[in-house]
Amino acid sequence: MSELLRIDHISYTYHNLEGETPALLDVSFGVNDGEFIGIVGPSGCGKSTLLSLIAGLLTPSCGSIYIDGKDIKSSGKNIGYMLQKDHLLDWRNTLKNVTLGLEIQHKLSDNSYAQINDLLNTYGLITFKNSYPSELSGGMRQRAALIRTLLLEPDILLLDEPFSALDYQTRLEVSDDIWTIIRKEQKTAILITHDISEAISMSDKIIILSSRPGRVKNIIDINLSVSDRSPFAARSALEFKDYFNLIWKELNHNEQAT
Amino acid sequence: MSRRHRKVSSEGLDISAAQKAYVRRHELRKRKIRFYQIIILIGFISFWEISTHFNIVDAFIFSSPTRLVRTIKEMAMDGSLFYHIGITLFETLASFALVNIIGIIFAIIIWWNDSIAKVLEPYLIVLNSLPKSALAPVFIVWLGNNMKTIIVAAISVALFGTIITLYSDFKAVEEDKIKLIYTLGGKKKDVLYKVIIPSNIPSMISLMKVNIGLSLVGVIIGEFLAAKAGLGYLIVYGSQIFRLDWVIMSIVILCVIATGLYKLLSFFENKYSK
Repeated sequence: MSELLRIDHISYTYHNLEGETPALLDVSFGVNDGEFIGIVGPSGCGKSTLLSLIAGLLTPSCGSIYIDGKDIKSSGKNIGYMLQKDHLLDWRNTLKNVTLGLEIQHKLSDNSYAQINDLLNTYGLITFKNSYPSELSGGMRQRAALIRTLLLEPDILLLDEPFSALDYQTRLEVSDDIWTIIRKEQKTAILITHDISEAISMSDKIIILSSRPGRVKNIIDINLSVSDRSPFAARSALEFKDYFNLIWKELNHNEQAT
Repeated sequence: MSRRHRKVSSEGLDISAAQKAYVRRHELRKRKIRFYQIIILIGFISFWEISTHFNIVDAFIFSSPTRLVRTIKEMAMDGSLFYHIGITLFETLASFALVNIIGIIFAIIIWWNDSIAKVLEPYLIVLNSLPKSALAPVFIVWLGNNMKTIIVAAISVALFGTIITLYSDFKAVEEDKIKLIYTLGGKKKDVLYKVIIPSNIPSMISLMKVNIGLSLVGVIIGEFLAAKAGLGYLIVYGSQIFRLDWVIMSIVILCVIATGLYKLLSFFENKYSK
């Protein structure tokens, strides 16, 4: 596996009139092609800032981000970003909502509809094609948001606590769904979460950030001895609880130190 | 919407006695309200007619329903009624359209450029709180004693409030919805067309409902001061030559026009939100 994304000693500081707030400090790590990375850390540790930097919505105060060895700004690679809520637009039906990204990038052609129908069909939304967001369940809305992102054919998918707005049962189902979709489409993904179990069940590698300003505290490879690697099955792996304790300790140790 | 239909039809299939009683009570209450509304109207008109008939109040000053009907008939015959109504309606609709078009364009400009918004903020606040009737004499001097003055006066009544309201509505759009457009590779123009404008259509329509009333107010103020025709002119002229029949008739017609225009916009609102 080759390295797709390299975060190279980046720092980011927010400025306002009261003063400056360092959000990230000297963060470095690499992400291999096809990998699923989880990022955990205490709240306010700059996790969302990190994703905004990778997506190019913010520019690092110092340091660089490379994709395939090229600077993100000039790499021409597509980066998909899923926000905490699905943010489907109420006045558009499902079809119009999933095509929003293509519409904005002027890539919507007659050919795209075949692919769109295909995706809607595969992920159980085809009968809700003309429904409005208010008529969809939380899981369906989240799947529609994912299809909206996938249609832009991103090289890297950023997931910013995409399940936090869902109730627990839906959350398990949707994270299983989304994980399967991402694996099937062979995408590289970076997931931010508060939920340690969710991170372990979905990721190949977990990056633990310290509290503000966020620094990389530890990087843990997750190897679970289960035949079925889906998030739901992963939760019953023997090593699951050991990883959980390890990460829990890292996070708590961090709290005491500061 | 389909959900609502289903509910209605399922009610139609098996109505319990309690449900029937509830619906009947509801209908009864609705009819009662309508009944009292009509009673008030009829009571008012007959009280007016009777008190003028028996000379309790002077019909020359207060006019009377029969005199009103006669005046309307006369003026409808010679066509002057429709002429005055037409002028006022035209001026109202023209200023209403201009207020909305200029207001929306201006609000978009200051939403787009935050520095312009900050620079203009105090001026907009001053112009919005200024009593616009104070400006009308100035417009007469600048623009002359004509329809231009009336339309400009009417625009000045509603425009600044429109800009301020629209701008704050644009600003109130959820920050994450805007971020979404940027994550999908959009630019500011896409934020405007895909999120800001479509999410504000309902608030634009309710603003229009306010503006239609304000335009009418502005037109009447303008006609008081600078007109040779129109209902506002008729009111002022009528009061000067003691033709109170004209004055009261114009006020009654204004009531009808104001209600009609408001209902028209409500109709469009319902049509859109459906």
